[in-house]
Amino acid sequence: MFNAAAIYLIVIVVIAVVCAQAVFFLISAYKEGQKIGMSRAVLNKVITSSAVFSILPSVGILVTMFGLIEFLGIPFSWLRLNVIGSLMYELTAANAAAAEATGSALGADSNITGSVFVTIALVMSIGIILGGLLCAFGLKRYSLILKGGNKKDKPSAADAENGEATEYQSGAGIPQNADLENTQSPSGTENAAPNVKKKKKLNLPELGNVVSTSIFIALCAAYMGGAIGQAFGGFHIDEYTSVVPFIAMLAAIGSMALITKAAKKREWLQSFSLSISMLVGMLSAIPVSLILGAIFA
Amino acid sequence: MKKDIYKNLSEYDKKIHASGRIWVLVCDTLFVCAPIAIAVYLNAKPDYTAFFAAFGVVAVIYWSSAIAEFAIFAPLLGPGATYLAFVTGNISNIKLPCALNAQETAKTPRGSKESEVVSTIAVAVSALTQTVIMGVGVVFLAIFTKPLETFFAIPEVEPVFDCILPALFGALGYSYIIKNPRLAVVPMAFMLILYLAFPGFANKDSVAIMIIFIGVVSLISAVFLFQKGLLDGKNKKIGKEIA
Repeated sequence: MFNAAAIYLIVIVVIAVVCAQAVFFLISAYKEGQKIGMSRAVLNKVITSSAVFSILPSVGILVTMFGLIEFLGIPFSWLRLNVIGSLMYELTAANAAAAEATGSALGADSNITGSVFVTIALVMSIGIILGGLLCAFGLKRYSLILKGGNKKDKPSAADAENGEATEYQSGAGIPQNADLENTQSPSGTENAAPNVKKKKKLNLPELGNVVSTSIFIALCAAYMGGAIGQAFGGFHIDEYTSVVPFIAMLAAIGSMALITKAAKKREWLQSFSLSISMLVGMLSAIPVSLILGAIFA
Repeated sequence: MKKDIYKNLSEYDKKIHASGRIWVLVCDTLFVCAPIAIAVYLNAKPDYTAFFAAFGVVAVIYWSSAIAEFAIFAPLLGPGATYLAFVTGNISNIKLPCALNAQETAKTPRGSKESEVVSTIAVAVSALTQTVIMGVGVVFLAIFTKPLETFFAIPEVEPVFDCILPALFGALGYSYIIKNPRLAVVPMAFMLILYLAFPGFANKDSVAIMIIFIGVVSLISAVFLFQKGLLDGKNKKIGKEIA
């Protein structure tokens, strides 16, 4: 039902519009790059390296689609993971909506009817648009603040270097003269030399990073704790299946630890760390259930 | 007369902001219209009570995160790439690293006009590459829909679907905790005490609601640690890959 051709069509229309936006920005930025003196060689190198850079993580995202398609079908899972979302958000939103709509979280016993599907899809879709709305209504003003208020727009770095040829102009040579990490704040605003007498300002991007990380840690803690509590809070032998998600979680953690270690030597592995670990955790449930069933059943 | 505070923006920046706004609003509208169109096709009505309850949970967690991400990512990406990244998604795991990699490739100084141009190109190319790869994958999945459904229906495979969330958040949690141990101490301890003392809360159906409480505890402890300077440089690196 959720893999119908009509749903594919709806999804393809949305993805096509998003791709059109990407093409529009690509062309605009390329033209602007040439206008400010960047060489075609460097711009083409950026295109090639960005495409190559994105291949492995994209394959990783494709693999994680398996976490959604059993519940939401192929086309809608594709839409959610191809644009705007991420698996962590999508599963959290879908799980919250399923719990409210069916009285049961997503799982093997989920009964996803048309009404439940639409409820989940709406929660996923509306719950994530704030980022876009902030861009639409706040990015222009925020960019102005980051550029230092109502100053003349910042000249290109090439202008600032009095016409000296740089990597992005000539395609050769690396500018060694600019220690911009020390002369510009991370936000890209112009900083004068450090003034020790100035009162220390609250660094909002730093605080934002801490806030964002703490929220994601809370999300992980909630689900990890859920698996631990389910397994050990009042464990009964006749409910041995409640241990399976905990063991699956341990398998995923073990896999993540191993891949992270291996990725120090083979960097390409990092792109697959989450998808492989998730699959290892999920698939471990099959032998674990069979073994526990043989012991306790 | 109203003062034009944007008069000193370059023509390119004005064009990017004007078109970026339109594109973002069009795409956001389409994202909301897609489930409505599917509802019409399926002739199914949403459960509004469930929708508002679940939306409340999602908004509490993800809207504060969206504000923080907007504040962090916009300075690193520049306007063009930001408009695009917040529509194409997967920012922290693909778009941002890709943009930073492109800036490194082109050796453009951060915050310069060149780095904004390069970031925009990188995010656009990344989004298109992702679409091609996922499109090819979806074609294969569509061809094998029947065998896939048969596989999912095998009774021995059923436990797999109860383990998706623990497997995902276990792997992600490991990554976050290893990189941010001080930020993780309080929420992890709170969660363990809560769930072991009151196992009823650990029911998989209640976890979605518990996220709010753990989120508040985690947020308060994080801001406290930040204000007291107890993070010692950890979690303070802008643009640090966190997952």
